[in-house]
Amino acid sequence: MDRDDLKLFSDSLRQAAERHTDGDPRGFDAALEDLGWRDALLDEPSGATAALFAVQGEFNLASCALDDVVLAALGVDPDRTVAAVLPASGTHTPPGTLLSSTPVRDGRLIVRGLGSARLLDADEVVIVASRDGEPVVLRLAGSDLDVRAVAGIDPWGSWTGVETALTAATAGDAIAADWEQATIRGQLALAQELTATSRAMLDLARDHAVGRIQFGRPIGSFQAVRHRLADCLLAVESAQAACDAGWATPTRFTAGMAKVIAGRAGRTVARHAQQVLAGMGFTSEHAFHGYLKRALVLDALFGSADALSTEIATEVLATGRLPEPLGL
Amino acid sequence: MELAEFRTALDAWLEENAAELTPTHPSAGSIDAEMEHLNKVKRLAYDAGWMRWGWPERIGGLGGSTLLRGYLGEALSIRGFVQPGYYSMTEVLVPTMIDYASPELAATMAPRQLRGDETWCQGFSEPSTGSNLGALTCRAARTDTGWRVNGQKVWTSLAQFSQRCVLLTRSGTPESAHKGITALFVDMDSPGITVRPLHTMHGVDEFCEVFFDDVDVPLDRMLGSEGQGWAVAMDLLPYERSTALWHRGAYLHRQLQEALSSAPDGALSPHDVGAALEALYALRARSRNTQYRLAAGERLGPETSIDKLLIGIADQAVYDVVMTGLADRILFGDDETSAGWRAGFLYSRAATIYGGSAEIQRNIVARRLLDLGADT
Repeated sequence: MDRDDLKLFSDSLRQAAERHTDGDPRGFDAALEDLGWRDALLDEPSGATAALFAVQGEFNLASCALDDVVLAALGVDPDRTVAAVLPASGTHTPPGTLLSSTPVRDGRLIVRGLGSARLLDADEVVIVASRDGEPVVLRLAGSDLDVRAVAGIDPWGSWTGVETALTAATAGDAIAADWEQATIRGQLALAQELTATSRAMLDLARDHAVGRIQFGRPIGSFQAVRHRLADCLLAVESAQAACDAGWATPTRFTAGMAKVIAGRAGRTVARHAQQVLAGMGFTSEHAFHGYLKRALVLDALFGSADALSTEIATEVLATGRLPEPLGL
Repeated sequence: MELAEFRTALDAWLEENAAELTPTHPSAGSIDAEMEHLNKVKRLAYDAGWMRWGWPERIGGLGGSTLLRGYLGEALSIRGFVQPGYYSMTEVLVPTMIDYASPELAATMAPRQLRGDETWCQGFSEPSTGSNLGALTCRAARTDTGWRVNGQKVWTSLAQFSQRCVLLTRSGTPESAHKGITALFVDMDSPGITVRPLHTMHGVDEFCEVFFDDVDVPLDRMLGSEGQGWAVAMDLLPYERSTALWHRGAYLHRQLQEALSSAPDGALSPHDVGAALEALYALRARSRNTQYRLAAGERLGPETSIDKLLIGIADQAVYDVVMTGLADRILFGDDETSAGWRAGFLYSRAATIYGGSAEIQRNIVARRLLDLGADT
């Protein structure tokens, strides 16, 4: 996939998103099938993921593509019948814990995590579990897992939850998992989506500020409003720059910082945009609340901004060394 | 010369010459020694060729990407060999000379600045026009041979050390606003110029008042044409908000690292450190993209106000950590190192004021980037 192919892929995603207006995530997943999303992912992991999650964020669409991103990072062939269990809210530790290690089939597997809609009817579920502190990949039949459809704050996201303990008898062999890679890829995808979600909230607020007249002039002419919106753009551009740095050199640190800064941007932009949109933004008919709620959920996946920032800073304090600064 | 090759060779040279490049003066309070050391570092780096890379051959450069300049300043700053605020004046003023001075003037003057033979200053702010640059009143009247300047500038960094000044003057009517400004390249030893350093709250006399009393400036010292001064300023400011910021970001990284190493155990919480890390990372990520846009020949403009806002935030976030971690030294220490931290902390309070206040940057973002219409 060269630069032009990637551009074409990105344009097609945008067109599909524009056509997909009924809000049902399954519809967008079907469109992704048609566009060959998984081939694109395998061919160009960074470029294809960045393109898709930016579009998802901009249009506030949900899909099961995060499963594919995680599977590919784990070296498992992504497929629409294979789901991945995501870490529990706020964390980025493996969603599974495997007690009693040998043989695997006698062990107890405790699973606590989240997922996409794919978990509900997948033929196979991939779970990363820590066994004696080491992450391993386990593959279960979908029917073995008790999955709950989650409405929560963001029902349009079609999220799912798993909280269960079972014997690992059906889990197959435990293979060493590159959980770090899965975390990096998941964090970057989510950071990119959050950045686009934030930009979309800013756009809504900006259009409102230009069109809404009070005291005989657009509210966007008042400095109090202008400076709020300027701070939104500052947050969005910071998040995009952090995503760019992450995609260019995906490491534990760059992906973590991208997720932190994008998570902060989501909160900052949501707060200011809400205030600028005022009463109109508080109605369910206005698009704003969908973005706000999605941003909160995206922040909680694969490590929230608060948790990741504390974790990175704790490591810095323990070692006394700052991570290498981003170079040219 | 490619960046990777430049980096490797420069790193080796810096290591080899570290003894000579490391400042021996105290870290605060001695701006004379600081300037002397800066010029020495520039001289050494120029003679070894490093200072010439990334600049066009017509001003004595060796060509190559502007990224080489970005890396040189970063490498010097992160090792503590230079104070980027002073060093990066080169990055602000030499591009202006290249773009607006006559080719002969640029070719004569630029090498002197690069080699550390000369210090230049930037005469922009005035007592009655801080943020409102377009309302400046320092008057330039045409004479038979050039311009005669009368008026006052303030907050002129390093004027007391400067041989030249890039000066914005009012050449049109008082009402001509942005259209009636002309930029001049003035010799600071011209008769009629008086420089008076300001004593600042951080104890470093970096800023000056500069008075112009019938100062004659020859016609060939015009930068651009008559009335083009606003364009000169608008093209200069993005340089101040790009490479110079990249260098300052490296310096802040060094300061944060030193604060971490010097703070007593338990003085800093992960929350304190996390906030500074985030701000510094956002700045570096943004500024890095800007460095690549500059290198690709893109014309930088109002979007650099984002970079400028980010460095104000990062600067103060880093020094907030310094203040928390080293409170005892900053508040009560009378040794040289404590004085250095104290000066750094106090100076950081100005990071959202100098070079266009954070409010002005937000106004630019709102008007130019978000298209919210004119300021009212």
